[in-house]
Amino acid sequence: MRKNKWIALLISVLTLTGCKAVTETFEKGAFHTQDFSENYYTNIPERYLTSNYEETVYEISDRININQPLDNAFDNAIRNDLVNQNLSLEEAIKLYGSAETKAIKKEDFRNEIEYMEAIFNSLSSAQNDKASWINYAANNNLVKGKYSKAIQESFKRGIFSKLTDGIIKCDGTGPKVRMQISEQGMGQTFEHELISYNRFVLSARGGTSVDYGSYGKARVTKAKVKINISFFIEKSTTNSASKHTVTFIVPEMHSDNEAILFTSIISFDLREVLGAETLKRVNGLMISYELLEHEFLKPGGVLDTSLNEEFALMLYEVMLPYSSWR
Amino acid sequence: MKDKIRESKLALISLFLALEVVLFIALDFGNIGPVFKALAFLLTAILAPFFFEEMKVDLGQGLYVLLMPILFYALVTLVAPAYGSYPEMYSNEVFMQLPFITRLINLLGIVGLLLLGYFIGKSEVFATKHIFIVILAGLAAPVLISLFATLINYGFFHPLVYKSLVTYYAGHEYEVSSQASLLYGFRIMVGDLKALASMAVIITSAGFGLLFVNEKKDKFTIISLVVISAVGVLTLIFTASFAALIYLLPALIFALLLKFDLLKKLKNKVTLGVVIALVGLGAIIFLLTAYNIFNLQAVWQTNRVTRKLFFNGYMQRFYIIFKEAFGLRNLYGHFAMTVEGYKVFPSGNFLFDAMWIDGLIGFVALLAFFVMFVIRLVKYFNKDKDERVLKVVLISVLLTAFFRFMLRYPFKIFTYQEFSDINNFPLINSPLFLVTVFIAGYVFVLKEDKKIEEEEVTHAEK
Repeated sequence: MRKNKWIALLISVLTLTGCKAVTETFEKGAFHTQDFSENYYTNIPERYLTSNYEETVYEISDRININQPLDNAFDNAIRNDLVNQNLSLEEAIKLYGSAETKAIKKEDFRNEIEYMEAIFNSLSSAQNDKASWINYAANNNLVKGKYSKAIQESFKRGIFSKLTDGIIKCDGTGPKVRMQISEQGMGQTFEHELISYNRFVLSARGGTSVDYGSYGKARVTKAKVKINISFFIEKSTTNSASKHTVTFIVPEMHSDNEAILFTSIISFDLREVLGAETLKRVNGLMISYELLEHEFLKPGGVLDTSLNEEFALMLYEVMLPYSSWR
Repeated sequence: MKDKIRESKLALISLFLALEVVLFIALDFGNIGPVFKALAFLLTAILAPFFFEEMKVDLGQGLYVLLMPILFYALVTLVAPAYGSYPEMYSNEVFMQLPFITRLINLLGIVGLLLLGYFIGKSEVFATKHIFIVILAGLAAPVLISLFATLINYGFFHPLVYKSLVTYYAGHEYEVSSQASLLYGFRIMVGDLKALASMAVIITSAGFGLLFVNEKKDKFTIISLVVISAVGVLTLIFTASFAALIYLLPALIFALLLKFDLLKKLKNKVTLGVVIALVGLGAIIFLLTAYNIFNLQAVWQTNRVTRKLFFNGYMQRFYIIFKEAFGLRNLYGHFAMTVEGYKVFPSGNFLFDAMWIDGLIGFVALLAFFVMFVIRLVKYFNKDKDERVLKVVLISVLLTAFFRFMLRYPFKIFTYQEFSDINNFPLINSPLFLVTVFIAGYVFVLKEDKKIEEEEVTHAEK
């Protein structure tokens, strides 16, 4: 009898806990079907829509940088990492230096400043493809950065890992690598809390279901989009639940561009914009947008209601380089 | 000699540690496995002087023939390119990235394990049932832990519950129904359910020995076999891996033939002739198709049945691998996974995998070892005084493992792409192969019961 009780207890414990690896499941093939309208990822944690978060909005359109994957990331990211001492000069040379950069010898210069200048010039050179945003993302995504194993693992699990895998552009696998979102957006709760942060990087582009050929129109490759990124802080004994939303307009976001490299990489200094303490304890994120202008679907900012085609934002990557989590 | 060993504390302790090492190898500690191989070699070096005289005699009586192939095979793994690394490695290449020292330890360890098996057999310090049960328990323990982890992470019958559902990891989607939580070293990792089911079915096959136990005589053996095979059966049931039960068929047939004394009846020239004829016919068809003589490849493709039998994806890989090796273009191993754009590795069969990554020399050495081992196993089965139950357990487990790995090996054991270098794990790291090498050394020593034989002879004379 006693044995049976133990077996029953074991089975019930296993049954109750038997879900750890399957808390987030999806139908096989979801989000990468042939039907554009079926590929939206629309999950937003319920409480982000219903709970009472005290919201602060920051309009930062004039403080964002927009690049493309092959652009040199030195001026808009690497220099910042060096200045903030998140990255040493040796590391910068090792990670982002070309053969020419690595050949520069300190002893060939009269002083440290001249040497640094030569290194900076070499790193920021347009010919230096080692300092491209592609390489920067490969080194600074949320699963490969200088994070603990537990934090890296938490960003590897689940569908949000599509945005943390370091792939900032189409890689030939089509919808599999990106997250297609509607204007209502998507949300994600993290397993860990953000403690400190520097820059924020978002890689995205527009995409539509429009078959331009059937309309006899030229492909529209740019769209004006307003993006909203909300950071959520849960209620604690000392603070109420809050939501900090940064909002900015991308005047010419790449859209439907056949060349796979045409993705918009939007970056800004989160710490400078919001302050170093504002986002402490953030454990959730929501990204939504508004299509402001599209030459075919929304010419002059007026939606063409006669058309059934849709515009979606294709998210590739979210980065918080040199952030710390607990 | 036995007295000399029993009197020496060093020898006794070393023999005990040797069995412990075999247990730890069976337990499979993943990437710390080389430590146990190094220990196996160290213990061999300590024990060798105690068995020196016997070894000198036995080397001339077949031990040399068993030892040489495994030594040659291990030597190939030391130099074959697939085991090492290369400055520029691509995803369509096999590089296990084992440092030279690890490969050297593999070589020394595998030779050491064979000799440890021989030493333990020679010493007769441990009863065979204890040795077999230690090994089986070692193989069963990771299965049990993996089963618990799988149930905690996925629940009961998850392939049925989560059919056609996927989870995401590092940006890629993975089917839940093919996932399991596997123990690797001290970590639980997401792996292929088929890998867990394979180990489960192998330990389940040990249960066939229960057909031959005497209830009153040996409770320890009965309880041990029941527990070990129950771990396998429960794993197969709770993970809904019922299809894996098919791999029990050869061992089941063998056990039933033996139970109903049909094996003796089949032991005649006609059966032997039929088996040789079938094997010969298969070999001829294989050779003719591989070299496309009489345009056989096109002929097979005209019919759905022959296409599936002789020209399916697996067979096409085997033909290419065979031609590369026996055309002397692959003597000591290849590292590419594709030949002219056609995927050949993993081939799905452990012997053809060995033919590819170890080349012709490695394959011939490995095959020679298996042939010699089977010969010794037959001798052990017919002549050794060990109980029949233990012989059935051993042969059932080996038969099931052989049948399973002939049909699908190696697995993509760990699901996520970042573990690809572990997944291409070599045979020389497989706990099953390593304990097989140990067993080969152990069954080399025949414990013949001379008294019984003499009595039988006397009775016969009367």
